[in-house]
Amino acid sequence: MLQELLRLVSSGGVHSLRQLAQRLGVSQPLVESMLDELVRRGYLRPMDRSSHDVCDSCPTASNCSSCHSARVWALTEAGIRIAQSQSH
Amino acid sequence: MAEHEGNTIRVALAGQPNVGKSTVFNLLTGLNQRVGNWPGKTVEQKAGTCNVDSWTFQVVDLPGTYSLSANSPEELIAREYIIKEKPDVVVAIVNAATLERSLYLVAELLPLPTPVIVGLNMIDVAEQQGLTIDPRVLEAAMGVPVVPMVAARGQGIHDLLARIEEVTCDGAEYTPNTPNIRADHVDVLERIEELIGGNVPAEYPTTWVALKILEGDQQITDMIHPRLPQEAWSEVYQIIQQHEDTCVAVAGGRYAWIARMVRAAVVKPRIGPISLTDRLDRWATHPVWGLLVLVSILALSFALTYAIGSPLQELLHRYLVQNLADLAVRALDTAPTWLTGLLVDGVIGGVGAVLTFFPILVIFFAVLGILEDIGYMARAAYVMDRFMHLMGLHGKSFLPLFLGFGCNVPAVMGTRVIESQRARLLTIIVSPLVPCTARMGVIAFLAPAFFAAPAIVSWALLATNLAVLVGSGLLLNRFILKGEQVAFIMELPLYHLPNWHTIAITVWHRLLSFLRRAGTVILAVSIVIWMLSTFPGGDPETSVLASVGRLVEPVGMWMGLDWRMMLALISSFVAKENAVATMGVLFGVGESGAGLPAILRNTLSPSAGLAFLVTQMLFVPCVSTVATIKQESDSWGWTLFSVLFLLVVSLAGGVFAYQAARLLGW
Repeated sequence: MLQELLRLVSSGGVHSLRQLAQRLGVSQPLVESMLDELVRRGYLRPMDRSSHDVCDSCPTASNCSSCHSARVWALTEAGIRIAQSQSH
Repeated sequence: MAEHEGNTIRVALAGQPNVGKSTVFNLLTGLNQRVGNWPGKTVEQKAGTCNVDSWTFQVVDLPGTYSLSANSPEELIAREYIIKEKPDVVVAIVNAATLERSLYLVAELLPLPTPVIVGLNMIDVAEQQGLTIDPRVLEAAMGVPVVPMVAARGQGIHDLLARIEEVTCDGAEYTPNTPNIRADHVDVLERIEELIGGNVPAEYPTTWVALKILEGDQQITDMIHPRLPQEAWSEVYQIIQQHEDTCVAVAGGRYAWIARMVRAAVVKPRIGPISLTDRLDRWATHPVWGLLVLVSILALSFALTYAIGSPLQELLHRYLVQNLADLAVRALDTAPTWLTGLLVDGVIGGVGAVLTFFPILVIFFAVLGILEDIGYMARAAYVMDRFMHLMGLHGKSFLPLFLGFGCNVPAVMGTRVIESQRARLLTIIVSPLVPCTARMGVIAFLAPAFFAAPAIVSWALLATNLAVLVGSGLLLNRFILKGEQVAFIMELPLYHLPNWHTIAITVWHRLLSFLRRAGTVILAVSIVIWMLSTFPGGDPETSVLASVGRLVEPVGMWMGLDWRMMLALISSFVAKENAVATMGVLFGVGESGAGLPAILRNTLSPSAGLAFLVTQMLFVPCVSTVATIKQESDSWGWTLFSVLFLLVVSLAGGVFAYQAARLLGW
């Protein structure tokens, strides 16, 4: 299930949780739970503002609300390797 | 059947944090509690007893853990206790409202030899969320007893005790439906079991140990390593090395199991805000309809802005700017002509023209604020990115580019999320092509001056910018990045009703920063432009500024623009709104009765107007953005390249628009 998720994501582009849940035939909370697991294991990287210092040094941070609108994750190198690994 | 001594049943209480485990523990043990530490650990241990009928239940509260891996001391304590102390039964408390997450611990508990009873807690909360779970079906699916509970109200506690008694006394065989490793790894698991078989300490189940080794569990691997013969260990080691994905196969098997359990036991899927969001998203995030929805929402936003904003803007001009100018002229009756000129033509003409933007900006910011607040903007980004992905511009750039709609400065700053230096540079170079609100404000002001259908023109201008952005991205991507593949997951927040307070604050902040610019940069540039356009003779046509402007006029000729329009374009480098301020000064808005839109309509043909709008949209960004580009790229060379690139692109765009419009007979 986790590898299927990584494979779906690694097909490129941007995926919503809803779309991933539909493709895997599971509920959205389960996808969220799996994303946390994949982050813990280092296959996904959350890209919210807390993981970068972007907003700290941005002069327009005080009147910018775009940063908070959505949580985003990206595949890590290890995640890409797992997604591409073949069943032996 | 588990063994138990006399009338005592030893119960271990397991559960993730926030599932109500402590409530259950307190209900069971009441005042008969002891608090100490787990042997050799600083983690608190709570234990207690409970006497019901002739039975004494000895309850140990295991630390709250998400799983039974060796990630934390709590998780180690929980699994060591179950394996080594062999309680008669493990009661796993799960939160029915977050079943998907809660069941992970159960998936880890089932492969252990101790019988498990699931306390399905908080079913009332789940039901409030529209989630109905059939405990009997869940029980059948998992093969272990499931007791529905509302521990906060004491419901289900007697059933739980009854089921504990049943499990420990009736001698039925314990055959839970355990998670399986992913099918393509079954033979690897079997091989590991063969290799370690006979060398596993008696209390540990062999299959469980094999699974933990495959999962990369350091503690279990360290325990097994010295017990294995050298050849067996090297093969185990080799298998782990060869299969980087085994840990994913093991954990993935648990998630597949959870998915099966949830699918079986959840009777009614969630309703309410979640499914409303789902229904809306079916349209809003659809690859085709989503784009259409986005396009329509943008067109509507523009239409609304113009329908309400433009008449207000005219009123503001008529009553505020003109009256102010008249007042100034009368008050300065005896003052030197240069002072009147400075105030009326320079300050009122320039800053006044920009200030009449105000109503348009209020509405535009409010519409944007509403779209942001109800959760639509994330969908817009999502749809746009799918679109960009189709065109070859890949994911990681999209977050910074998305920020660019507010202001290009955070867009350039935001490229820090991109690790690849080349991808980052590419994104920095194209990010000014995302029209910021100041640019859109200028368009919102000028489009109605030239066109009867400004909403459609603005919309087309925005689309042109994005097309140029995608085109540039495509080219640079092909030649610089060579198709570096990046993938993303985005959580789209639930839609909700707008919070007017939040929106008002956002609009207010944006307006404040607009007013601040009007009072500083725009005022200063207006005065400078006025002075240069008055010096030396007082006639703008023979001024210093005119001679400078005439230097660039040959370029303007290709777009049907005279030197005044070219200077307006150049002054937008300081701040985008200056384009309007400069026009205000140079076209004499302060002293003439007509507003700037009317003057422009009489001076420029629609084709020249279009050329100006296109060039303005694609032009070099404001000086703060260029400074940020220098800071972030840390290279004057690339900063210069970015400026030149946009200069060429914008002028080419303007010339093309002018010539094309002329061919169409505009």
